Amino acid sequence: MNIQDIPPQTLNDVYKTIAQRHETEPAKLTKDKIEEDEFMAALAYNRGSPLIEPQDLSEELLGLCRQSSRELDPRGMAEYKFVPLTIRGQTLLVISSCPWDPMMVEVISGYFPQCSQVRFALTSPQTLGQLLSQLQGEGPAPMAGYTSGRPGTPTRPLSTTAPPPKATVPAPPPPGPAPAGIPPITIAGAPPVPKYAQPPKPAELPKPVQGALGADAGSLSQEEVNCLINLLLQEANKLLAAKRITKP
Amino acid sequence: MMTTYERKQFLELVQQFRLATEANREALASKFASITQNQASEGSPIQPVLGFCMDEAGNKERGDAMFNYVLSRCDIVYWPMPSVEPSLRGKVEIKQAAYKHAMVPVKVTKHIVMLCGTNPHDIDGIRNLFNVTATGEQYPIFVLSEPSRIMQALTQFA
Repeated sequence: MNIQDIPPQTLNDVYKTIAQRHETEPAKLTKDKIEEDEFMAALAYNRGSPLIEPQDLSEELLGLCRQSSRELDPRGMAEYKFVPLTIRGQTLLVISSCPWDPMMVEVISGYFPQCSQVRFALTSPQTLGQLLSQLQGEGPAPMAGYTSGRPGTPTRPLSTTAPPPKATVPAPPPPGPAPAGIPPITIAGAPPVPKYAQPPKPAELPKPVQGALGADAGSLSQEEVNCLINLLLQEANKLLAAKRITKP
Repeated sequence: MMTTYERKQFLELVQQFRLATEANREALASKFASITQNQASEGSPIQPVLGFCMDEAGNKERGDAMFNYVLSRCDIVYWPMPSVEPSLRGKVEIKQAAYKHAMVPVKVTKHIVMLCGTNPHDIDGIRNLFNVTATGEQYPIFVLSEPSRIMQALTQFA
């Protein structure tokens, strides 16, 4: 786990938790000597998230991940460091090594607009890489900051757009007591507008209308046509979102 | 008799899903008490109150909606595959606590104890099961799953 990616407040809380366990002061902790396992456990505890470790990558878990991610681009999952595990009602459960990344939450919400809540199971970048590799049934996945050693496949260009209309951060927990020792999961503040949003998969798109692109449409490749349709859909989504917002 | 935590969830669900009127609410509570007393005397796992309410919902859709409602009302993470940690399946004390609270220890490592139950209010259950499961200063993590999955997992105890 690259601790520089972790929000400072979360990191402080993790060190406090570890210090409490060792009955010492956070300032007296020798941070370099904290085992990664213990750090991850404290981080999971602080977030109230399940912790997925290499020994947890069972066939059952892989099966659920496969089912939930079958329409997603593996490169997108590797880039944003997540794998959807399952959907229950309107709650999406995602395995991630950086659940505090608001851009990743935005991307997930774009993939799963039907889910109004996103909850996370925490994992380390190494375990996530292992999971992605197993899902692909091949060598290590092209994680960001992680080199597989095999020739890199170009990541699908992601268009720079506004967030999808239904994208939301997890709903804040309602008032009421949580069980003792289980800290609430909160992602504070509104997420920034992401630089990237994964365009919908071509398979989910309506077929292009013949003639809608004029006589030159025949000279465009299917990929280019899909790309244009993606752009149109994103613009339409933005307009719809704006209308929803301005609706009295 | 329902515990305070069971009653809290019971009343929440009865009201939200109109499972009973003001007049027959106590009759429904008595039915639950009667079922769970029998289960306790037989040494069977105690049905969680959420499972009871889902059964009383009338159909699967309403039952599912009830579970989703519980999930959406709390900040506890859903766990789709509760299963008793294999190394604990023969431990009688853990089995008893797990049966009593309809909660299972799904993962125990040097650093964490992950418990899975159905009632986010059941602080006593979490505490009791954690106390018999933890072997050191592990961190407790609690997750939620469907009553049917928990009951299924409970059968894994020897």
